[in-house]
Amino acid sequence: MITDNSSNILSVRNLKASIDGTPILKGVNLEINAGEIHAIMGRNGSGKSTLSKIIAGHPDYEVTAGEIIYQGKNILEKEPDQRALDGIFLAFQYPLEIPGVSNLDFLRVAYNAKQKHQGIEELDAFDFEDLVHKKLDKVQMNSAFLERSLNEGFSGGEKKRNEILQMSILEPTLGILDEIDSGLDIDALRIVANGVNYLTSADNCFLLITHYQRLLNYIEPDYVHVMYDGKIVKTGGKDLAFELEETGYDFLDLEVAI
Amino acid sequence: MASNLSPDQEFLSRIVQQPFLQQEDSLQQLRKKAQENFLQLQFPSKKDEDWQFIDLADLKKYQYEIAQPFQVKAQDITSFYLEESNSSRLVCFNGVYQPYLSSNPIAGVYVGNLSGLTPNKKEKLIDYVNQGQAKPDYFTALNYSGLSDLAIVWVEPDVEVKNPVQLFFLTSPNSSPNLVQPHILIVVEKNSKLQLLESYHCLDQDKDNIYWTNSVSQIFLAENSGLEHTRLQDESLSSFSTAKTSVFQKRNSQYKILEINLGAQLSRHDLHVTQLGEMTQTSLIGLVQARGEQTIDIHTKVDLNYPNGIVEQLQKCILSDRSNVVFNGKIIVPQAAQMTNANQLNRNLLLSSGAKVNSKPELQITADNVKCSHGATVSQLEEDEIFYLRSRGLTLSHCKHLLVEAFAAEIINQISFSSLKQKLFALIQ
Repeated sequence: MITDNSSNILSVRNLKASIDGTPILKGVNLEINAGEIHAIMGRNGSGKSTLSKIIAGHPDYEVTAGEIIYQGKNILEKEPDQRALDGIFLAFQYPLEIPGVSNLDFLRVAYNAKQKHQGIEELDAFDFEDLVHKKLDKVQMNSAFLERSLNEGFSGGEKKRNEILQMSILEPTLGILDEIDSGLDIDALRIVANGVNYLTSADNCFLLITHYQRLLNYIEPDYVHVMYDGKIVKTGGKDLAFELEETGYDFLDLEVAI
Repeated sequence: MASNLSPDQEFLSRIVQQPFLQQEDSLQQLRKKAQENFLQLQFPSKKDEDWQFIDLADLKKYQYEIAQPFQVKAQDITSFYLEESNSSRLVCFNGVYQPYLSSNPIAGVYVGNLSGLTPNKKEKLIDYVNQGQAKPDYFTALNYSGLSDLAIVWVEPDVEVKNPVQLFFLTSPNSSPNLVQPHILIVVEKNSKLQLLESYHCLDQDKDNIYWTNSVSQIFLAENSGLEHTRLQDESLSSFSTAKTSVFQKRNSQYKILEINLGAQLSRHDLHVTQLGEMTQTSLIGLVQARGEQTIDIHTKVDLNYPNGIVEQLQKCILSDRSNVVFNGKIIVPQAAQMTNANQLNRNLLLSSGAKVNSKPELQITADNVKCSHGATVSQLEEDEIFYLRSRGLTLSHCKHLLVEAFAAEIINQISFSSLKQKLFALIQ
């Protein structure tokens, strides 16, 4: 629904998309306002991750219908880097390893690209290191990670923490976390969740993509959506997550078939 | 000129019969021998296995004159100097030694040309030079035929040289095609260590004057010695470059070359290392960046013949536009070379569908107790990597630049001189 509410950040309307001619999203509607945390749950292949990639601008997907309104503007024609500069951040399910690019340099380049975009002064290497060290504590990362190549040889948990570190430096308006909980043990999960909770404010919003209710014990969502076959078929409060944990996703086959 | 010469021989005779610049008498015998050798040698063609993937037609199109030395203000060339060398350098303009720009503040090391040596030492060095034409190929024979002087670095025994030495070859080509033929001789005696930068540049990069640099470098490493050899070929894109480097390593010596090839429209380097004793280490690290219509051909060969030899080789190539790169790396491990540890890898990054690479890693193993590996990869920039970086706000061109730089960094970061590293990162794009 079109809303005049000025606090609306993301509005996905009847979004349909396909990859190599195969439809994946079949009419997604989603409204996220400032200060809200939303979770999308669903089976593998239901289209959750695809939705997150399309919002971030992944070039492999073709949007065949609908629109994505971000801060009042349709962003479908925007390049991924323009979306990022406008405040959209996707924490990857599988962050890529990029040997030869230092983690610290990369963080600084990304940070300064955003500063420049906003017309704010860029930080030199020294000032930036100060900034990073403050953020490191939040994700309980060792500064040795900064000297290493971007994600190279990082464990699964280290990669996810590095995503949160990037997010805390770029301070997005819309943070999308694609299965940030996958492959994390309880300790790492708590660290990642703390990082996210620390970033939430009345001015930004988050979208969590997850299979499991477990993550939602640590990051409490305002809304839980269930995705099924390329559509959001059910929306509720955080209780819905518990319900799904109990019943599994099978009931949807019956419910949706009706 | 005799009429019974083939066109190939004629091409050479025209060069060889020109007056040479400095007729250093002690080299006369070598020149004569080389000129005789020529008659037996054929100009390489695509029918030769070693020259299969490189087209020398453009090189042969021109008539070359021996380049004359030129004058330049000292301050106009300081940007080429290696800061870290602390004025320990040998400078040649168009292949001719420039004593006033060269200097050698280090005790225990001779850096200079042939005329600065005592007759005794001269004789010893000429023995070394002579070894280089035992089985000359065409371009080596051409270099010897015009041999007029030597660029020498000679480290006495038990000297650990602190400052790196720079051998700096600068060309300023005429409007008519020039031939420049440096001949380098490096001797590192027992228990000594040396860092060396051998670099080739053109003074007027932007002019499209044709010239041809045909160099020979001979390196002799005595027992327990070490040489870290950085070689930068950054000639003008109108030039031709043919180079032969031969390295002889005695027992327990260490040789590492970091070779960066950026320039010349057509460039060929033959690098041949022979291990002459046990526990000898050879490390061949190379980076090629080819753009436009450039052809860059790297041929390496390592001959092992003793136990416990080590060879590490990593050759990386970045190709864009319609460039053409050839890599052929042979490692020969005969029966005597037991317990050899040899690893060879060639990685190529293709940035354009018009670029072409021919890669041939080659291990010939007869010994039965060895640890050897080899491989070659050809890849493009990964779409997923680009998306990941773009999703953090970096533009497409910035991402590509970052990924290419990252690919090159594995080689460039091994260079010991930070001033050169910075320059190279600026040149890689």
